[in-house]
Amino acid sequence: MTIRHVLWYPFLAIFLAGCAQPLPQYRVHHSFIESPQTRAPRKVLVLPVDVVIKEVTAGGVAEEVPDWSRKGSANVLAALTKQLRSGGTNRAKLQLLDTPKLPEADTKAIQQHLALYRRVAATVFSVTYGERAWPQKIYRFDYTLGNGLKSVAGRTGADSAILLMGEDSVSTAGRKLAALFLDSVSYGHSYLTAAIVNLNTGDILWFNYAYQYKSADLREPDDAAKLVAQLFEEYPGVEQYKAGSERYKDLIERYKADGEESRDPGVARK
Amino acid sequence: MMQRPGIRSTAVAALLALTLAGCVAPPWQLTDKGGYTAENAAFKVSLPTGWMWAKYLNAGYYVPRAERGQWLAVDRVTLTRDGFGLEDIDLVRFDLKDAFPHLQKPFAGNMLPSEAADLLIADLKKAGLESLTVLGNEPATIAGKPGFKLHVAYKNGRGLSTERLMYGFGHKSGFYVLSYEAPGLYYFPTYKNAFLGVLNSFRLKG
Amino acid sequence: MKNLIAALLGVAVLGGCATTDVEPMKSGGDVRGLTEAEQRVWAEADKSDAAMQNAGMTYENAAVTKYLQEVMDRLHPEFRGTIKVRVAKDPQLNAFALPNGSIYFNLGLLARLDNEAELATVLAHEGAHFILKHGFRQRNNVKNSAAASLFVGDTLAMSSISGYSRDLEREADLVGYRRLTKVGYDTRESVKVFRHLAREAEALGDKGDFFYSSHPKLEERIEVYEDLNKSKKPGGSVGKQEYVRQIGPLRLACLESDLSMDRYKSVMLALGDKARLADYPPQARFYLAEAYLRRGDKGDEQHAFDAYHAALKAAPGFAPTYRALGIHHMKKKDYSRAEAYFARYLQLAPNAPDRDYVKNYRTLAKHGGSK
Repeated sequence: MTIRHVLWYPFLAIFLAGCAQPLPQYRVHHSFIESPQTRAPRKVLVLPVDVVIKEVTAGGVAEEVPDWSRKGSANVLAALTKQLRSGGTNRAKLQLLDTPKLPEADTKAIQQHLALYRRVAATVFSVTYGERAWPQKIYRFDYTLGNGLKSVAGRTGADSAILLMGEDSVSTAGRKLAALFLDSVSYGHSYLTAAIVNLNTGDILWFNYAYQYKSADLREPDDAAKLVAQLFEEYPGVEQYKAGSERYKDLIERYKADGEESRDPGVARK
Repeated sequence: MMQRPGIRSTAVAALLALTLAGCVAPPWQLTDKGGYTAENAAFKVSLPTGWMWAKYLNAGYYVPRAERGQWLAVDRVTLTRDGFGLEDIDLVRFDLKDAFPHLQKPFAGNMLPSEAADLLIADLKKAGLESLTVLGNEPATIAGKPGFKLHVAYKNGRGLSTERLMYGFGHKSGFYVLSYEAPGLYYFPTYKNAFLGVLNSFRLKG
Repeated sequence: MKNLIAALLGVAVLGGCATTDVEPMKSGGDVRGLTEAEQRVWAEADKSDAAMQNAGMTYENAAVTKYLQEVMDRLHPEFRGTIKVRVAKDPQLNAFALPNGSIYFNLGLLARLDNEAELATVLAHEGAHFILKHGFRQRNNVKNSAAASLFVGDTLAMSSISGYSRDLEREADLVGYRRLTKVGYDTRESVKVFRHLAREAEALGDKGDFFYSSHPKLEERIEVYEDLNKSKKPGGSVGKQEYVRQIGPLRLACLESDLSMDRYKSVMLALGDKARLADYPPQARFYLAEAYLRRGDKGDEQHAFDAYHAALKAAPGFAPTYRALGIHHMKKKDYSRAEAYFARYLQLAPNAPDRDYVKNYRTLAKHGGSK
């Protein structure tokens, strides 16, 4: 799965959101719901932020601009740091720890788990969002990265890590002009996902995404701050998620033997 | 150099697109209780609890080709617990003539298990896994039939390793490949026993 | 009116498009003076390098990599430390240059070439792509063509992408040729590189655009080199002995890789010629036999059998030949011969990864083919 796939699914979810479901946009791990006090993240690290910013030409050629990506990643990190440390907006009561210099083995483990996270995040989108989301995975959200980052917890004193990943595309002047006149040409978009992961178990305790079409530019600190604020606005929202996911318990019946979804429709052929 | 998308993601992406267009409703079945079995014309297996069986892939296997892709008629049970990117159990009976679909080669009657395993490796490489590593390749008995056990791994551009464990054999009724694929980190070892349970329950019909 | 708007819009959109005038590099130090747009393309190339590494697509052999790098550094000394040569685990006959100076030389091409002069031809050519910033120029052309396609349709845009690359290849051929003569290689060997490619293309049923569709036809490129050679005195270094010494062991790895992908046609092309077969290690005859079996045409079973016996004679200690002959005899129901060959295989390679298969086959053969 590539970042292209990760990008596609939330746009899909938004497109289908005309169904106005009471389920919140974010996802909460079942263990966090069952034990909101004991399982709540307290001391968090932010793992390397991965924001890719591309310039898209009139003809649709997208090219990453490394300086812009570095700037966007730095803006997102700065925005999150400020929001977590400002106290006033920190409803989450998350204590942000500085990430020390880690030994090579830990750095390598983090890189491997970030690569795994991309795959897990893409799966979370494909399975728990949209009209055909699997109700059992919403009702009992249990995605994890495994316990391979335990040593990082031991070394830093953190119990959790925040993973931020996103993409922004900036249109060239030519593309913006073309978009005014040609339906086939779209403007840029900004997209950010966040996950809070328990470092000892690897459980994805909380997951959300934020998306803006045309109006945000992560190279701008204010825009990055708005998107990050949007991302964590409802954190943790455990009770709301519990309430919103309750009806999915009944929807699980649709997928069981003889349920609506399980009946044989024949074969999908090209 | 980019790795070509696997058959799975191409087919699933296409079907998801069709679903959204309201053309096809891919049915899934949740194996909510223990002792659930899946059965088709060729074989029968027990399924692990809490997995989703992709019924819409029961009888088709898509093979991309240069000019035009092809759907092969097969007997198939394919399931996942969390989504195909994280676990993928795929049990397929190919017609003997379609045994190695990307090479477009058949399973020959006198083919030995090691020869079949070698051709399967070539087929996987032709399908896009050119840089796979063979972690294990040994004889195995599946449902009483002599076959092979093949364990391979491959990485994507971000270094995420994926492992695939395949058991295969040839029979007059077809060429069978029973496989389990998952990211090597956490997922492959965690759900391998679920696959082995399916494998051990596998029985041919007739 | 619609056409006028489209025309005006086209000018406005394309007016800001990237220029194709770029200054070639003169030395490794020039990388510090890249424009912002060039830096982007460089950064993408860095990511490609990382992706190749992460996916395990590079062939790690320090001695071979060092040899290739030394030849490259002789050809482009002012870029020592900037142009980095790596071997890619790919049996196809190809090599490519990334805009950041990474040159990937496929295992398949390395195994197929005959001598150092041919190797230098490819390295000089790929190095020229980097120096002339062809990666960047190609990207500009793609952008401009993609923008143009909004207004003039895709066909014209696609052909302009293909046509532009042809010119870049010719430019790299010329600059590469000059480097070869400066270092003192025999440029009559250069033509042979394209002959290898042309033979491979023909054997695999390729229509002639072998590397990718934007390359000029191989015949044209042979003509270019032959024309250049007309005005040059014959002579120069060929370096066959050193090349065979360095690359020889790798050739078996490439044959193994070809067969693992069922590329039996390539194996037969590489080894079908007696003179070429003599340049390969003696075990190569085993791979030729395997290729005959994979092809499976009428008479190939006998050709395979003969090649296995040639392999036995040339390399009596090479275990896989015994396994193959064991299998051959078992299928012919000559179980005692089969059992003997399997026993010899297990004696020569007691720790072979496939020993369990061969033990089973030996047991089967001992019992006359039944359990």
